[in-house]
Amino acid sequence: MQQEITVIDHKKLLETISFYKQKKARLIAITASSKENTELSYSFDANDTSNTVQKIVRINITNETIDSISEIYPYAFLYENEIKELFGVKIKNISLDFDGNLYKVSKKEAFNPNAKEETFKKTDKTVSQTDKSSKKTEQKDNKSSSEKPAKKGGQKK
Amino acid sequence: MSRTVIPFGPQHPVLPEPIHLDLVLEDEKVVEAIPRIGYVHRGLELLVQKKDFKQYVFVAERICGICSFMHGMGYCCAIENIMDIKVPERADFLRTLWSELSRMHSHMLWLGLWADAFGFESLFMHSWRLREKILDIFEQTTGGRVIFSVCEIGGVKKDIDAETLKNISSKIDEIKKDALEFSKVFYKDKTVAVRTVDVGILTKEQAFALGAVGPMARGSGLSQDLRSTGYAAYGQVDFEPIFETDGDCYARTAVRIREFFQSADIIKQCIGKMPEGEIRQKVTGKPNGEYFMRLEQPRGEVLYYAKANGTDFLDRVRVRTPTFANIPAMLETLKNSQLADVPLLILTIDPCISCTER
Amino acid sequence: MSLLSMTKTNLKALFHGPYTSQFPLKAREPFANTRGHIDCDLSTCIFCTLCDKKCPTGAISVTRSVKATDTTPEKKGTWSIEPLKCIQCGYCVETCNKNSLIMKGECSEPATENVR
Repeated sequence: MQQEITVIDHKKLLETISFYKQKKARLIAITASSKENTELSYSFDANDTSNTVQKIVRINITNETIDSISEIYPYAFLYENEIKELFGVKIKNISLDFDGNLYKVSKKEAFNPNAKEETFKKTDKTVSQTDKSSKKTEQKDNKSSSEKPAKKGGQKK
Repeated sequence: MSRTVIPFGPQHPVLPEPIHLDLVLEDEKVVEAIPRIGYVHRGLELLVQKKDFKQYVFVAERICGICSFMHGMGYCCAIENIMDIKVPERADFLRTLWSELSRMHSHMLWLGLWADAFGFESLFMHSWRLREKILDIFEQTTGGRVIFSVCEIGGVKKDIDAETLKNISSKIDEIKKDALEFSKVFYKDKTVAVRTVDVGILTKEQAFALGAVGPMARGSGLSQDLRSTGYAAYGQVDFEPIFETDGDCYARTAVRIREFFQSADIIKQCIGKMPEGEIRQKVTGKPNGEYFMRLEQPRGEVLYYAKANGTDFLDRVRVRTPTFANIPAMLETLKNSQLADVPLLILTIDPCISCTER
Repeated sequence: MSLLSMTKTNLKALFHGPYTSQFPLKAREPFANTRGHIDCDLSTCIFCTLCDKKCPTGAISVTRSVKATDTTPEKKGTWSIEPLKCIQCGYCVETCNKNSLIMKGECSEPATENVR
């Protein structure tokens, strides 16, 4: 199986992706990999089962903000949320934005080797806080077990 | 009309996988669903910095328990394409044999869970009893029931002799006979039809616009099957991609049952055409380059990306599993459905959340 | 669309008897190829530490004595494995040049505490 990789400038991203959408290509996945700078690869498949050539569009970014392609391909929001959380790439205008809370990993930008290590101290504090709160809930459970059934049921907005 | 928000999952008696959905309801009809995943994230892609590229096969196999062999095979094929290694023909046929057996056991597992989702427990028990016979074949040939550890870079580790191949062929005949009885229940029983016909309809245009893969797309009329690209020994075996046009849960069940019987047919063709020869190729040197490899797992199309830089440790491995691609299609079918049908619609994409979150 | 499509299967199941075997009262025979646990034959082992380096989980630990006067097996070196870390992949069995590691079929029994 062959693959064709074309490298473009990140400002021309939306143009190129719209071009592929007009040719009725299917977006397979968005892959990110990061060493000195982050590179994103958008893989496409033409609408033909016997086509064995994969077309890949690649952009290289250091700290810029790029546009989301979820207006063109609506299902790209999951890939972009994952890349935003794990690699720290700034993407704006995602249709359903979890804002870094998709996986809730304790270390921010875990897959990016150039990230700063400032979040480690915060996680130590949260662990000790949850220990104290779990002890408090144990004492409460013993006292007020009869109050629980009244609070069940869906929330109303 | 007032709206209620019900949280569904990750622990729920009807839900088979740890996924969370916030269902916005109007009086028993679901208006919208907001997903949340991330309960079993293990960060397996980051382990590539600690295990060298030959040891990583064991990690790649353990991403998922049901489609475990194809994960190992996808990783090995990606590295073999980077290093330009040609796998011997007998190893290709053996890999195809184990892949199709994996597909059979995965579809039988799904049929059992599907029957359990609408309350038909005796059919669930019978399907899983039949699946045990396939797991016995795995243990006889590879040594493990679920995780095989038999695929490696350059070929396979264990060979199957001619007598065991004949044995497998006769066992497949028995399994087909038993499975024909159960499939008649799925096709004709009225209780099954009431729960599956016209539930969760996905039209052909919607399936293409949302990027659905696997039986989810083939049940709506898109004839997408990656086995036609001819990796491993699929170029030398005759088969046609199976698809149905209705787009509801009944059509997707029919696609999976027909694929089960098609896999049994492919296995018999492989056993008939198996060539003699070596099963592994010696691997020297270190990989340098990158490759995108695509395979057809039981749930759909999986993408494997590997990037190497000339040392023992790879730069990046990325797995994009079919359930990840089917989640937007699932959210679309959940709109305008009944609350009691929600677990059925989650099961119809064949979710495998441990694959999705790695 | 019939309502009685399971009758044939149900009648067969009535007369067949149980499909399950009475494990743990009757032992389950493992197949010839089953991967259960690793055993080491110390008489052929030369303590080259290759299996220690290749193990993906680090379950095997091998020490080797450097003195030339230590020739008895007890003094030459030690070979040990942590069974709870072993994933039964078989990589060590392939790597061993002297074929002193064997994969046996019986799986270890379930344990109630983390014994190391």
